[in-house]
This record gives sequence, structure tokens and C-alpha cells, in this order.
Amino acid sequence: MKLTATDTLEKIYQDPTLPPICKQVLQFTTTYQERVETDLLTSLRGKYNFAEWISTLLLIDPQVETAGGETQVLSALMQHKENSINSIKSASLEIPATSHLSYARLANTPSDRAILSTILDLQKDDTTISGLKIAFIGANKAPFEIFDISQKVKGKELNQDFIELVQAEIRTLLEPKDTYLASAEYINEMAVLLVGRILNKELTGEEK
Amino acid sequence: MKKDYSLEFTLNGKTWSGLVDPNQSVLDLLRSENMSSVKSGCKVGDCGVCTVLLDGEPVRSCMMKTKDIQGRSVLTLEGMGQDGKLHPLQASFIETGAIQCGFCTPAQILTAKAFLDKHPDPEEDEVRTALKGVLCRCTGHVRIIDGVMRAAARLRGETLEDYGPIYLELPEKIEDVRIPEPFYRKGNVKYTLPPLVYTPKSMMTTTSVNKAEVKVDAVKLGKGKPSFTDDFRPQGMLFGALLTSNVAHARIRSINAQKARELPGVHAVLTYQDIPRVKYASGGQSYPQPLPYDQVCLDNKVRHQGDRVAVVAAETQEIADKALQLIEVDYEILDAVVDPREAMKEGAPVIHDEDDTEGIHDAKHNIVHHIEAENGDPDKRFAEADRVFTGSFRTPKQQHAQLEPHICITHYDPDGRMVVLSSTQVPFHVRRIIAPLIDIPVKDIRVIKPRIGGGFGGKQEILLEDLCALLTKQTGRPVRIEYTRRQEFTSARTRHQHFVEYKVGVKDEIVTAIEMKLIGDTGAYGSHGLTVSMVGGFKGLTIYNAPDSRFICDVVYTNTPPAGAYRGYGTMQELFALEVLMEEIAEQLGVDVIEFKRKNWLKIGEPMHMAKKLGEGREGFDQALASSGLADCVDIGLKATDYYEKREQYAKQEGTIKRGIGMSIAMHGSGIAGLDMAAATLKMNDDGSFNLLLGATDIGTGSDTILAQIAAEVLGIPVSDFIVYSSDTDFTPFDKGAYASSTTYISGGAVKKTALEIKKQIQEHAALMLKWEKPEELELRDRKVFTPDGRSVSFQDVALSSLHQMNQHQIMATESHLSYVSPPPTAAQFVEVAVDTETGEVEVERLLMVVDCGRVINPITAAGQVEGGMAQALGFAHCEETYIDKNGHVLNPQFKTYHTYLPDEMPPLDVIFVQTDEPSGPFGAKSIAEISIDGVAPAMVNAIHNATGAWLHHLPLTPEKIWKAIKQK
Repeated sequence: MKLTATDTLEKIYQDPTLPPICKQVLQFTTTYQERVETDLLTSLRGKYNFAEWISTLLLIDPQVETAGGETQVLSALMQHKENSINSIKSASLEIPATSHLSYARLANTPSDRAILSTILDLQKDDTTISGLKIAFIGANKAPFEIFDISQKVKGKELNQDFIELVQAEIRTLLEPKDTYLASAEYINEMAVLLVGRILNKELTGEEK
Repeated sequence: MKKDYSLEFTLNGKTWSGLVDPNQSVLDLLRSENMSSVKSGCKVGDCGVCTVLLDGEPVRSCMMKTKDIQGRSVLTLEGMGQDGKLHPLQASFIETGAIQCGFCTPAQILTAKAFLDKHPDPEEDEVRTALKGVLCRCTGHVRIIDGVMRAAARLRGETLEDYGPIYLELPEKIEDVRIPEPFYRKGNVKYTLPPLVYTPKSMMTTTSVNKAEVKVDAVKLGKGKPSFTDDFRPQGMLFGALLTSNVAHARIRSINAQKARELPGVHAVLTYQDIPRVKYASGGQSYPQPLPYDQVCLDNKVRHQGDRVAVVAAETQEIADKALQLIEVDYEILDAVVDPREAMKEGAPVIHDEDDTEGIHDAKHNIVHHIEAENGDPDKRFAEADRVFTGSFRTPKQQHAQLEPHICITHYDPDGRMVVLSSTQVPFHVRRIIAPLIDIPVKDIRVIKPRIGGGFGGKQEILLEDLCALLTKQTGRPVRIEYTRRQEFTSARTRHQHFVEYKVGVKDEIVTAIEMKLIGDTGAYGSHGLTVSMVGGFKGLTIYNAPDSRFICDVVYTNTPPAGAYRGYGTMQELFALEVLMEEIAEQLGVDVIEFKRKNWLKIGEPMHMAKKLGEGREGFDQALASSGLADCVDIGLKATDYYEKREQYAKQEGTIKRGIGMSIAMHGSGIAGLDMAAATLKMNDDGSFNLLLGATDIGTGSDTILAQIAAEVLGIPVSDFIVYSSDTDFTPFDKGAYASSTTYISGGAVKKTALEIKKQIQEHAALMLKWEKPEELELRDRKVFTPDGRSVSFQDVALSSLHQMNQHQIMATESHLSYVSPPPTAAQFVEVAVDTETGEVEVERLLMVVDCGRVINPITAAGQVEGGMAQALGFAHCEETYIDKNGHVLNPQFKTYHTYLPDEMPPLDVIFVQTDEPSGPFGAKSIAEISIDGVAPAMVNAIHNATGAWLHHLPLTPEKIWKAIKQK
């Protein structure tokens, strides 16, 4: 689907071609009112309010065409201060109908804000891994963080060893802090667990 | 605010144009345009009650600037409905009982309208998701969802069955009870069920009572008509603002308000230097309020973050808020203590070191009250017991989270009397308590309570009225003050955090002795600390009523926002602990927990051993249980949940997600024995209608309606013949207010007595008209008075005759009611859960309460009380806590970070009533408001234990606590 900067999140949410993970993320993290009030560009500027949504888009990392006709991937726009998302007047981006994303969240209650959530972009050819990016929301001090561990896992087979390798990697990547919602120890354990669950589902072919 | 932006937009179909500040919020603009349906709940976009439709889509008007609506179309509830007719959504909300306090109703209806316009045939789950942006604290959401589904069907042109409760006879043998199939919730039935009402054959039938009458205020609330305090703004009104402390414990070395006073538009700034130091207690309780009087209106010391520092009145809210920033306060920061167990220790910071507060038990150790009460010889019984069990438990500091903030408007009337318009549960207590604070005699103060946007005990407190009146006194102008949402979290009141230790002695499966040690955290001020603890002690020692019992309690000051009255009032904390411990004991004894409890719970005819020793802030009265449907409640609940089958099945579960079912019992009270008094007035009008004047305070519960039903039952006329008015200290008779589950029972008792007196007067006058010798033989029904030989006169005839023609007088009566017993409603609470044993997350799949509240006066409003109570209790059990750091700062002072259950995650909330006939209650009624909150937490812990084998003693039940408990078991 093609999105423009002025599309409201509600319009995007109601679009039947929106990938299910994107819809799920919007459903969990926004209200009807927020989606009506917020256009795509505004959401991309709200890294605290829309951390999971931005993370999802960054994992998809679509091409963005700016008003000046330039084209860049979204992650590049979000990273470079001199050409940052804040300076964009209008843009459009295209989200592929299918994605390799998986989403898991942990919260006190099903609709409470997440203590921790994670979105995975697992690229594979049959059972051989070609790339893995993982977003965490709530695991570190920043509103969200995305780790690209493709280089470490490229060419590996999707199996239990691979899952354990990824889990071990996560333990080294995360530096959670105690919050009133949960201790650092718990957040760390859960990050490992949630990623393990997603990968196990990939392994066993369970529906995401 | 610079009004230099030319705005034109369509408001409810009409063009609006004018100059505005482009950055003014649409909420403020609409409210200034008298769009009273648009409510202000938080002003930061978290609650959604300010929702309006912008070009047909829901937006939060507090988050929209006026420039955002240029050329666009805005719809508020005032623009809905055609030709004065209700929109199907409004009609459905009224019918289903979706409207309690009504504060969130306009936003719910508008959001639903926008959704249904695009999705005319939705699934219930889609409706739940669509509505999650508007909070509701009263209903538990389920009747709102039901209302939307019915409206959708109506809008599709479908014919609907009448909405209402299901009435069934309660068989003599409970095993013969018939439960309608949907109440078993088999096959993933999730939709909202109507309340089910069981009635024993022996109970007399009634006509108005026990009927699902529409709430008398439902239509105006459903239309968003001006009803709440902020909807009545007098001319020339100034805006107040309160400066509160950003530190938890400090002495004010100096305070300089000069710059604030010099700010153009500021009319008054008050600090402790400007007003007399008059000691008081803010808890709205009967005279004499329990000591200590540990507060003054403004002090030179602050004792919690959010404590009062100064107050301002100015021409606009913007100026008032700006003035607050100009007040210079030099604090001498003192060490803070936030844990009551630490606060009691030698060397802890002394929170009340002032020398003019009397009645603190041990100020040096921050112990405001120390209570000991004992019956029999518990030590002897413990020594004789087969086994003695102990358990320590902890409950959270829960927020009321009502959607209408505390708000007050004061002004002088033409006679120079102080009029106080306040969102309060206790108008008469407000009048009495503020009189010395503002140095105006009671006779010159009038307190008016409009509709209340939720209270739950939080408005049983004098929080703004004194300051608001002082500003009016200072300026001579009307003044309005409202807490910000942040102040609701830091300056208002909370539930008491309790640390409870139980010791239970058991001999031959009989509980022979109970000891409860309680530490109650009252925060920075005493408020309701004494009474909450005594009530908790009494109820927590009475439900199993061991003859040998002991209560030891310390109520302790901390540098945290003060605790106060909150639905449940100590009982829910203590029953949580006891009901979990009873399950643990049964497990350790190897006996069935239901049968163990059945053997031990308080039964009809038994005296309540601690009733006299633990009154409410003083000695109580001897009481015995006169009615109880508890056994039937338990048995019906066991059957409707397949409790035993599920327990057996869950014992064999495998996998990560494990299901569990838990149960608890509960008992509460109906008013405060020998203390709560209420009065009611009935006055007959020319057409045979009546003014029903109530001091009782309807805070959204529907009490105005059920009190009218009681009067209607006595007089044999419809509820619509009553014009119900509550409450105004000038015009309505005294009532202690809406608290302690007293309104149905105590105020209802007053209404019944009054109606009986009116009946007598009508009979006497009709007997004159009909020339019948014995007035008592005349029968009242269908708005007429009948002689035994079949002749009749109408009520209108009687009214016209008595006012204008014969033996002229006003048919009118005022009666008062007080009771020396407080009959407990009883209930069985069932909770079903699914636990993720790897993360500790819990999904609550069903709540069922089977409740005996005596005669159910109105099954729909009563069910609303149970549903709303269960929803609040679910928050208490699962996710709600005010987090405070070691320096006394509240870490989650907003709805965004303080989560209350939302519609898309609310489990089915099922309500079954088992009617009993309480001999002391009006038509057999007891109370309903608070028992509904008592049972969820322990039943949920017991369900989690059933699923996982882990025990949890510390609420709320966060995933991490459960995860750790599972690991440690």
C-alpha cells in the first residue's frame, strides 16, 4: 500500500491492504481518536507516543519519496539530522503487502501500555537466515531501539541452535533499567523469552 | 490569550464565526459556547471525555487547537437527535443502564456514532476496540458496549426484544435451581448478559420496587444537558488555581507572592500568611469528626507532593496559572518517609511536628492512631487449636480515577450568603466543616450538589470548598477552582495501602480464633484513617466470626498523598488477605475450601462478636445477622461456573497457558449503625405529582431513582410522578451523604417512612372527600384512592381539594431514619483466568458475582453497581497502583501511566442476584455499592493459584510478581 504524509493513522488502519502486524500494532498502541488526529508524518515525529508504530515502519524500512522528489529509505531519513523527518513537508512511502514481521508484547493487562514489546524482521530463504532485525520498546532507556544482527546470523539454519544464539545475543545487547513497571532482571528475561517465542513459532510454522 | 484569529466553522449544523486565539483548545472554545456535553477530564488527551466529532470523526477537543477546525464541521451531543427525539444511541444507552454518572456518556455516544456510521453491523470486539479511547470508571464498560450493539441493531432497522433483567424463582432446594444457558458461558459466549434475579416464593410481590425503571436523570445525562458543577458558571466568575508542593516534606522558609499579585488580571493570592490558622480534618464525616484535626487551609509546612501551598483567583485560567509560576517559595527540604513501616521507627522524620494538633497517638513515631480490640481469649484459643496459620499481605494505594475532577464554584447570593456549588458526596458535612474555616456561620452557607461525575469516596472529603470560598470572600466575586488531573493523583485522596497480618486458629475445621495486625498508611493526613481501619478490622474479623478475636492496628503518617474514603473502605483490603489465607488453610488441611468456608462463615441469628468493640471511630452496637443468602449465592455460582469440574480439569493441565478458577465470599454493611441518619421530604402538587426532596447524594449510582421507586411502591403511583431533587442544604433535608453503602438502606428507610406518612395524609383527606369513616381502610393504587365499596378519588382530586377547597393544608411530610444495625449484604465472587506461566501475564476471562443485597430495588442500576465495582476491584487486583519513589514523588500521575481497565480487555462481568428479605431494610433491601468491590482480588489470587500452584500476597498482581511466585513455588 502507498501512504502519504497526510494520511491519518485511522485511514491507514482501515486500509484492508495494511499488513496485519501493522494493524495489530496500531490497534494495541493507539485509540480511535489518536488515529483520527494523527497523520503519518506527525506519528513519525512522535517517538515516545508512537514508538511501536515507528519501530514497525523502520523494520519495513520503505522507500520514502520526499516533496523534492528525492527517494530514501525511511531509516536514513530518521537518522540523519540534516535531512531529518522533522524537516519533511510531505512524503509518501510504500509498504509491501507482505512482511516478515512478528510482534510480541508484555503488559500488566492486555491493553495496558507495554512493559516490553518486540518486533522482529526475520528474512530467510526457506530455512536459511538472510537477515534479522529486532526492535525493542521498553527494554532500554531510549523509546525504542533496533538491533540489526543480520551479519551474525546470515547463512545459519533456522533451528534451536539459532534461536539460542539470538537469545544469547540479546542478553549482550540490552541494558534495561529498573522501572516501576518491572525490574531490569525481569525485562531482560522477558526480552529473551519473547524473541525465543517468535522464533520458535517461525520454526514450528505456527501462525504469527 | 490573544483573540486575533478569524475562525469560521460549522457547529452542530450552524455556522460559527468569530475572533479566537488560534492556539486555544477546541475544548475551551466549545465550553465557552455553552456546549455542556463536552466534558473536561484531563486536558492532556488521556481520558477522551472531551471527544467531539470533527467532519464525522472522533477527536479529543482538548488536543485540538481552534485553528485546526477552520472551515470544518464539529458535532457535539447537542447536535444529535432530531426534533427533540433521542438518537438510537441515546435511547439504547438509557435502556441498557450504560449511563451512570453520565460524565463520559457524550463522548461514548459520539465515538460510537462515528464508528457505527462506517461500520453499521459490527462485531462486539470491534465496538470494544473503537471505544477504548474514552475512559469510564462507573460502569465497567459492559453496558455501554451493550448499548452500542443494540443501537446498531436499531439503526439497521431490526426489531429488538425488550431489555431487562431475567426473573426466576429461587427453589426451596438450591440443587433444583435453574440457570439459563448463557450464564454458563459455554462455547465462548462473551456478550453482556442481563442481570439474573432469583426470588424466593416467600417474598411479597411489588410493583415499582424490583423493576428496572429508567434512571430519573438518564435523559438529561444522555443528552449532555447542563448538569455538572462546571456547567453552571455565574457572571463575573474568577478562575482559581492551586499551587501545590513539588516536594514531599519541607518547611516553607519564606513565600513571596508579590509578583503574582501584581500580574494584571489577578484578584487575590492567598498563602498561609493571609488566612487564620484554623485546625480541621478534611474527611467528610459526621459530627464530631474523629480527631486529629491535623490540617489547616494553608500551612507553613508541606507534608506530601501535591500539598497545598497557595491559591490564586484571576480573570482567566491562563492568568491564574501564570500567577502560580510567579509565587516564590523557599523550601527547607526535610527528609521524607514513604513506607509506614519505616515511618514508625525511631529516628524517622516526624511529619506532624506542629504543636497545635491534638489527638495524634504518637506524633514522634508518626502513629496517628493505635487501636486494640479483643473479644474472648484468643491466646487461649490459639493454644488449644489443632493448627495455627499465619499470612502477611499488602495492598496498593489505588486512585479513585473518577472522570470529573474535584471542582467547586462559590459566590455570594443577593443576601450576602456564601453559595458553594460543589461536586461533593457530602454537602451537609461540607457546610458544617467549612464554616469555621471561612469564618461564616452555617446559616449563611448554602451548599448545592449538582450531578456528580463519579465519586467512589473521593468526594467524601473537603478538598477545594474552603479555599474557593476564601477567595470569594477576599474578592467578593464568584470563583471556580478545579483540580488538574495531575492534582487528582497527587493532591486528592487514595485508597489506604494496608499491610495485614492474619493469624487463624483452627480446631476440627472450625475457625476458633482470629488475630489481625494492620498497618494502615494514611499518607500525610489522618482523614479517614481511623474509621477505614476500624471498619476493615470489624469486617475482617466478622465474616468468619470467631468468638475469640483480636485486632491490633497502627494508622501511620507518611509523606505520600493522603488516603481517604474509597469504596470498600478497609473491608476489601482485609477480605483480600483473609479470603486468600482461608484457601491456603483449606489446602493445607486437605479439605474442600468451599465446605471449609461454609462451616465457618457468619450465619443467620449469630451475633457479630466484634460489632460493639469496633464501631466506626467509636464504640459500636451489638448486632446479629438477620438475613443472608450467602449459601445460595455460593451454590448458584459454583453451578454457573462448573467450579468443581474446572478445578479438577485444571489440575491436569499442560502447556504454557494455564487456566484457573477462584472464588471468594464477601460481606459488607449497609450504612454505619447508630450514626448514619437521613431524612426525606415529600410534597404533593396540584396535579397529584410529588416533589421528592433528598439530602441523599446521587453520585451516578441511580439513588435518586431507587428512592423514588420506594416512594412509588408505598403510594401506588409511577416513578414518573416524582420530581426528584438532590441535594441542596437550603432546600433538602439533612442526609449524611453518599457513603458507607447507606443510601438504599438508610435514605431508603427515610423515604419509606415519609411516603407512609404521606399515604396516611392522603387517606385522611380522601376519607373526608369520600365520607368514609376509617381512613386506614382506603387503598392507594393507579393514582387513585379507593374505598372498600369501590368508590374513588384521584390523587389530583385529593391535591386540589386539600390545597384549595376542603380542610386546606399542604400534604407534605419529612421523616428521618437511623438504624442501630448495619445488615451485611453477602456475595460469592468467581474469577476465571488464563495465566502465561512463562511471563506471569494474566488474562481475566470472566468475573461473576452472585450477590444477596436483600430486595433489589432496581436490578439494572444494581447490576451497574456490581459491574462497576467488579471493574474497579479488577484494577485494584491486577494493575492499579500509585507508584511513589523514596523521595515521595508520584511516578505515574496521569491516566496514560495509571492504567484502568479498558473496554477491549474487560472480561464478561456477570451479575446474579439472590433476593432476601432483610427485616430492617426498606422492602427488604440492603446495600449494593461496596460489596461489589470486595471479592475480586482474593478470587483472582485463588484462580491464579489454581492455575499455577503459586500464592500471591502482594497486590497488584503484576506479571513480574506472578513470574517470581511461579519460580519460587
